[in-house]
Amino acid sequence: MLPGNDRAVLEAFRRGDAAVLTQVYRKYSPEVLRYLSRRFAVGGEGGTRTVALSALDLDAAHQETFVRAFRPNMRQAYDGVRPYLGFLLTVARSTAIDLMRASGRVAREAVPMDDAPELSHLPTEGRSPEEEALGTEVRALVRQFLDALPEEGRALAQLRFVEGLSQESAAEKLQLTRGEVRVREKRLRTQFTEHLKASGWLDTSFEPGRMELGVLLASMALCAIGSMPS
Amino acid sequence: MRWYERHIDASLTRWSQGVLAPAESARLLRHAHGCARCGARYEQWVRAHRALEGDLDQPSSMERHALTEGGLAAALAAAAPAEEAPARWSSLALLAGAVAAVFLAVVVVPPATNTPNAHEFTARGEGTPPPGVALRIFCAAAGQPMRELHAGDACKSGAMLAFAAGGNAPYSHVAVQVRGAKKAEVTAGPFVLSGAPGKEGPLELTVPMPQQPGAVEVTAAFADRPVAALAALRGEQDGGVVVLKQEVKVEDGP
Repeated sequence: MLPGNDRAVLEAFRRGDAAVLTQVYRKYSPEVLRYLSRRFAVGGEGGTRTVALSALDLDAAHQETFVRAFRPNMRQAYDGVRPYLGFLLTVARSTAIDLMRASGRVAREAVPMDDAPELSHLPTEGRSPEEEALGTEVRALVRQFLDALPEEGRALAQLRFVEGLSQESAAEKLQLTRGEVRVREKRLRTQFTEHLKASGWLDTSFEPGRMELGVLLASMALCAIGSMPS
Repeated sequence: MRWYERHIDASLTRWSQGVLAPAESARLLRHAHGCARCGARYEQWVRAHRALEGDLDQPSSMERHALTEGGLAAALAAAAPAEEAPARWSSLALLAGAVAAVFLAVVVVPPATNTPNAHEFTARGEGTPPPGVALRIFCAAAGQPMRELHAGDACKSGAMLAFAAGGNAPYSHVAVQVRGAKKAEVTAGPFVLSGAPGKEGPLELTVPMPQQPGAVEVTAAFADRPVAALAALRGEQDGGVVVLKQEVKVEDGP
């Protein structure tokens, strides 16, 4: 993929060819996500500190990065010589900083410090006490869940979730078929959700029954509106 | 087509199993961004699944799936204007468009008229009929029948706003923006208009009312092209676009 030794691909990219853009997106999306998940060093009046995007900001930054990068002027701005990933990550970084400024997580006048030579001397941690506490709590819940699993469930969780093996590889190691792994993994994830709900980690204050009723009424009302003679 | 957005609770369970379709992922994330309570809940699920996969600082496989699948359509939409930029109108059509634009600007959405509701529009059946386009706004509160909101009406905090829209040719698309008092903003669409005024079709969009008292402003831009509808919401001038606005007051919840 880009940069193109193949001029035709670069031209199609600049034209905005949907198939090429889709390929570019699928190729670089994981890299952009990984990059946006890191902690960003920002400098302000209080010195340099590191901040990370929240999970929702991560979604917004990831999407906005590609929205910006795929705009016609940005497609034209890519010279086709430098690696496209570097170009994309520059867009990602400014998007992330813009988002953190907009949400008030960093001061408006804060500047990204990632290229500063002194960055290597910064402490790598930087989580707030609240983040640390939540992390400790959820890790304990996961440990509790894994400990309560039977041996084969624990083995599957280890291979799929911790080691990140594909379903095929996990199936091979566990001497199961891929279908069996898929079914067991789905069951495991369902059990995990139930465990989180039972432990109070996932607030269940919404009442789906009431919501469903509201939605049903809403649908019926819209049906009635749709069938009214004009 | 769905007439409503399923609540985030329903989608999150399927999200945790990695079985959401791209459109569902996009809808889930859009909803989580617009609803503070649901956003916090999404973050809780995310944290738990990251912990299950061993690294709180890296997106889980479920996130990677949802974010990647959910973001492609928006990225491709951003690329579209270059293809649609060349004018497709003949000079006669351009002239007709310009005349229509002047008519719409002067008669339909005059920015400087002094009537009390100058910045608002009136729902179908009341007051001045809209010019070939119509937007209807509904308040859907749990356990209560849905009701249409006319100018100045209120909807309970936490309830959902639902929308229906219609338009005659050349209006083919509508984009909707809902802006709260505290910068919260939802922009959705452009949606294809499926019926004429009087036979408005529901839009695949619901927006939660804010928890704080105040008001939200609904802006709908109708155009003959999706790009033009979005551009109008960004404040860019384009002939032949109709922009309708209505304020909805936020009523204290139950």
